[in-house]
Amino acid sequence: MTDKTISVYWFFILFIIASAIVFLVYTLYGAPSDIREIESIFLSEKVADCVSHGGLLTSEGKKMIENGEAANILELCHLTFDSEKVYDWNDDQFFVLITFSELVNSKEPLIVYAGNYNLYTQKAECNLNGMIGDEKFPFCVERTIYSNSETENRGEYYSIQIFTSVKKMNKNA
Amino acid sequence: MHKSKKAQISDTLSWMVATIIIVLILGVPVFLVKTDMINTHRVNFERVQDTIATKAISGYLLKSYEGLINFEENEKKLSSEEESGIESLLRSLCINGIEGWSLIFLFNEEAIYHKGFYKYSDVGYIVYGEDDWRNYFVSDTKKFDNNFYFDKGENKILFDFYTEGELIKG
Repeated sequence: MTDKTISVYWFFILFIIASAIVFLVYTLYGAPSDIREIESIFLSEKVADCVSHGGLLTSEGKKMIENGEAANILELCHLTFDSEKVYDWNDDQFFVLITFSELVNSKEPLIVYAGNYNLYTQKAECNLNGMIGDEKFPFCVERTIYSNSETENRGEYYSIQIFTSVKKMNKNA
Repeated sequence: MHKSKKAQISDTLSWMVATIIIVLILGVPVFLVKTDMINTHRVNFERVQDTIATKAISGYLLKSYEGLINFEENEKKLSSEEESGIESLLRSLCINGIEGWSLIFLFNEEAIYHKGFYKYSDVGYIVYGEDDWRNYFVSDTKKFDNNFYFDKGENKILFDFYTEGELIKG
C-alpha cells in the first residue's frame, strides 16, 4: 500500500468518524426534550402544597371550598398558565382540576378548576405518547391527598383529587 | 522505497480491521438511536421521595392516628373503618403508573401489621394482609419510603409506608 493510498484511506476513515459523530449529536440533542411529564408532576405538587400542609387544609384550600367554582386557583396558588406566543397557542396549554370530597358526611364533591377545560374532556387521550404511531398526546397526572379542616378533633376530612394536564404537543413532543 | 508484497498485505489487513472496528463501535449507538432503543426525546425523572404520597399519608394519619395508636389495646386488631381507610389510602396512592404501596405497622420495632395494595395486571389490583403477604414477592426494590413515628408512653410506634415494583405471585 503506497503512502498516497494510505492518505486517501485516512481521509475516508476521518469522514466516517465525523459523519457518525455529527449524526449522533444531531439525533441525541437536535430534537427538543419532552419535559411535559415533569411539568405535570411539578404542577400537581405545587397545587398539593397550596391546598394542604401537614395533613391540614391551608387557608387557600379553605377559600377554595368556601368559594367553590368561583375560586381563582391561579391567584390563590400563585400559578401562571401563560405560554410562549408560538403556533396557535393562546395560554391554553395547561389545566388543573381539584375535587374536594368530604368523606365523613358524604357531601357532594366540590370541583374547582383553572386553565383549558378541553384538556379534561380529552382525559382518555392522556399519556398515550409513543403508543399510537407518531401521534402526540397531552401528559396528565392524577393524584389524591387527604386533609383535615381543623387540628382539634380534625374537623372535616377531605379526599382531594388533583388532576393536571400539560398539552404543548407541537413544540415539546 | 517499495515494501515487499507480504508487508503490503499485512498493512492493508490491519487498516481494514481497524476500519471494521471503528464502524462497529460507531454503528452500535447509531443502531440503538435509530431503532428507538435509546429514547432521546424523553427526560427521565428519578426522585427519592413522593411528596404527594407524604401529604396523603399525613392527612390520613392525622385523622386516624387515635384508632391506629390504640391498636395494641384493641388486641392488635383494627376496626373495619380503619381497615377500609387504609385500603382506600393505599389504592389512591397507586394512581398514575405507581405499581403498589405497602404499610407496615411496627410496635416497639416488631412488625405487627402489614397491608399491601399492588397492581397485579393492566386492569387488576390485589390487596393482601399480614397472613398472605409472604406468598408474593415484588420485582423491584423500594422506591419511596415514608416513615411516621409516634410515641405513646414508653412505646414507639412506626408507620412505614413504602412503594415497590410490580407484584409477582411466588
